[in-house]
Amino acid sequence: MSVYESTFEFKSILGQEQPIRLLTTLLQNGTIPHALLFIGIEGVGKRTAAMALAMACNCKAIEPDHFSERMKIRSHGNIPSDQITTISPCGRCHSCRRIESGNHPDIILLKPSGPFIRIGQIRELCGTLAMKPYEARLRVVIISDAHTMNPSAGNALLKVLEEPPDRTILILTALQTSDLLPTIVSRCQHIRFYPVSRKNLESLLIQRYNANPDEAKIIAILANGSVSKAVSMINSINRVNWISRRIWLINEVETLPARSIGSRMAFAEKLSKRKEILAESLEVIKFWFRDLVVCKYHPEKIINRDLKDRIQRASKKMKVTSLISKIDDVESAQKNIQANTNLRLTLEVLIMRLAKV
Amino acid sequence: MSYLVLARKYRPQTFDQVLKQDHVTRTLTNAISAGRVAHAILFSGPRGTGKTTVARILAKAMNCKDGPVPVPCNECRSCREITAGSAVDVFEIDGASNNSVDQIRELRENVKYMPAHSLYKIYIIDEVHMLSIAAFNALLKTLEEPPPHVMFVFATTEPRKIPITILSRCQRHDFRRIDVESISKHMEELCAKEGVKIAVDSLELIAREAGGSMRDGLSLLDHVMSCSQGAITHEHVLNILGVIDREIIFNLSAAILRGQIPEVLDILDEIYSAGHDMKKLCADLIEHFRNLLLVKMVKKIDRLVDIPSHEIDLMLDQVKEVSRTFLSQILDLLFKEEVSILTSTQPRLAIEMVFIRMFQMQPALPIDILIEKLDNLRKDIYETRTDFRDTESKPVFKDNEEGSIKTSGEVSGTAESMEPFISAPLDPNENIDRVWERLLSTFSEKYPSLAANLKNSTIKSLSGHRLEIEVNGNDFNINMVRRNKNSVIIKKVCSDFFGKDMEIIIAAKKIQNHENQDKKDHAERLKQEALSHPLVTDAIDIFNGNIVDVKIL
Repeated sequence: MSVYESTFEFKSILGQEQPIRLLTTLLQNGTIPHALLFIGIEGVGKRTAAMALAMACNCKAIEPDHFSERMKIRSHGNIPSDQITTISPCGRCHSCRRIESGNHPDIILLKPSGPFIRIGQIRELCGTLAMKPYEARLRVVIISDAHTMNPSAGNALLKVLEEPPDRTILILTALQTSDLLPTIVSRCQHIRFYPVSRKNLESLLIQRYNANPDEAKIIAILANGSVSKAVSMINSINRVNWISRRIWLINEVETLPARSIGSRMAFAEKLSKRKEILAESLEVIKFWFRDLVVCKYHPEKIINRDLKDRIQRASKKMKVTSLISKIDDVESAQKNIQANTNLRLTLEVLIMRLAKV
Repeated sequence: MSYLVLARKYRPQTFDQVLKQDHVTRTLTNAISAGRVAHAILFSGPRGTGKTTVARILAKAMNCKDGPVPVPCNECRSCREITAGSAVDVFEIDGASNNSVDQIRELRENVKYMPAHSLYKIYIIDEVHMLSIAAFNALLKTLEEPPPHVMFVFATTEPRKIPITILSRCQRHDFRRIDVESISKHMEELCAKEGVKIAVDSLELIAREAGGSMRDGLSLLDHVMSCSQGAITHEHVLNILGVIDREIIFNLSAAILRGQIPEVLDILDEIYSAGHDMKKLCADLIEHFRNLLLVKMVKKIDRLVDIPSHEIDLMLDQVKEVSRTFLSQILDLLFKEEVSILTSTQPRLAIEMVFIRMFQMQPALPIDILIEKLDNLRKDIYETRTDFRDTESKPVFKDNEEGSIKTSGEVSGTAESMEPFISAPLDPNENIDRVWERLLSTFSEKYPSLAANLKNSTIKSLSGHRLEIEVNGNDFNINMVRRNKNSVIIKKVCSDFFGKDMEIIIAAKKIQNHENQDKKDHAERLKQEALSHPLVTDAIDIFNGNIVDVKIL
């Protein structure tokens, strides 16, 4: 994530106007709840937003009695709209700089150690929270990837989450509420983060990373709404030319049924050699089949728009049921690869299945 | 003091403020006034229904300055300290983080000391299900017979994780889910107190999202209140809660039921770009189709389905044209595919495929309709056959039914084979029994069950337009043959068989009964003779035996 986050600022977070608006409203009204849960797919700026919120709460440039003033206004009635100004951390004061560099004693960031957040980490946190914050106006605990808490860790957090000590708020980030204990979910206020739209991603890639427009388009599709994924795709060391890669993949998949077993196996081998981009390659194949299905019903909704004619031609030759079963095949191969099966073997099986007419 | 959320700000402080848990609070107040409060109490129930709250109120009531009172004063030192969470004699322990046996041992060490200034020393262990087995076991002896000044109160969401030995030592109180109406009413009161105006519709929506938990409801309400500037509109609430609007769900289900895939894809796209959770969508859809199915099946809908009446009307409208089986087919598919949506790397793609698969699926027919169709098919065959016989020029078969062509082909074959015979039906040389045999075989081809009943019958007389059939067999056979439906069939078949209208007379054979009677009498007589035979009586005398059975050879 750190690759593209030069500063923690609300406005640096792309395509999340609504959650940002909610957060700034909370700041303005001075009604920041003690437990927040940020929900959204990977790499859309949840942790950045949490850091920005922590900075805004403690920024020296924002008057400390600003909040109480707002509180007074709120208790009297609605805030007149002309008084609403967006609060953003200055990023220059002592406090902001220390938070940004991760040296602030009262901003605690909890990350999974290994695959899980363990109960030991939560116990340690509870111990720390029993003491008063050193200097911060509002101590902020950020638990990122809260869905990785194992059940005992989650349960250990419950009491603190329900009634944290004074001047302390907890921010949890997770992919989905369904991955968390219901008792945790019910104690938090939820803020949803949206998948970033393709258009936004495209312009981000073009403007900030000088990407070729055609390639930006494809990467924006493959990243599927996640900024960090898009950035890592464009920044990876042995960068892949996704334009030619996609065409190559589609060509190979389309001609599979007509080819000899030997060349099918060769295709599987080529796929398995580029392990680092295998996941994306399989996604390309899946999207291709998905487009073939969708094209039959609603040609406007296809994802690979630039290949529209080709999709339409190919779509006419295939039956829906066989296409759906092919998508299933790709999905099960993806699952198997995640479960650490023999990569080459899995891919060969997949290719043979895809080759069936 | 930082901002207090509603759920904490308005935490009930007396028993009567606790909502919808009368069965617990009344028991406890009665127990307090009667002085029969158990020394170990377990509260269990879903999240956010008031377990911890009731535990605290109970602690206050027991330690209030005038001794245990049903209504704590909330003014004395003890009450204030408990509310603030700083009471020395009330220990609120987080069972989940203090779950090891060492911590329980420490607790046991401290149990024996008298309370500092209150009547009781009260241990509230929240999330008690997280204690380790060893910790539970270490607690057993103390829990069974604690010192008189000690009380234990446990609270948990998962009572089944607690060992049976602990459960049997506690008085257990189960909390219930709070219904939508009470939650929304309570929220209305709170809104009035807070000076915030929210439409009742929106409150109901929040209450429904809360899923029976007051804390969830209040968190959501808090969220709505603190996130909004100015007036709170319904759209705003929908937006903040991330609830997929009922209208969208209705549109989606309508499109599904009408089979319009493009519309379904459009709606999905809309939902996805609004950032909604696809898994949530799937869950919502399952619930929606469950409701649709119930609306279709059940008369008294409002008891099973928790939705406003105008939505029920809408649902009724939607399912009017759809068969029950199709709905349950969709529901089945959604259930089956829910797992794949949950695990998919691309939930959106997965859900799209579910819908496309749904359209691939043919609506199944309910069994009764299938049987009816089969019957019709059979009737068709029969009718086509008679048509064929009556007016030979008529085209016999319908093109669309492959099965029927085959079967009726066979039928027509037999009809043709009968042709020469029919031309001279009353051949005087023809043996009557032979005629009957052939007639029977035509019966058994088309009406096997009737033929079985007619099997033992014979033709009594056959003359001109009169055919007298004598039915041989038991009462059941006779009744079957005499049935209106069957006699019509017999008449028809015979008319076809002989090539002219026949009058059928069905007579039952009565003699058979007499014959049976005779046989019985004869057997009885033989038995008597055998028994009274001198040889037999002597043998019984000599061997001191008895007669088991007499068999007639």
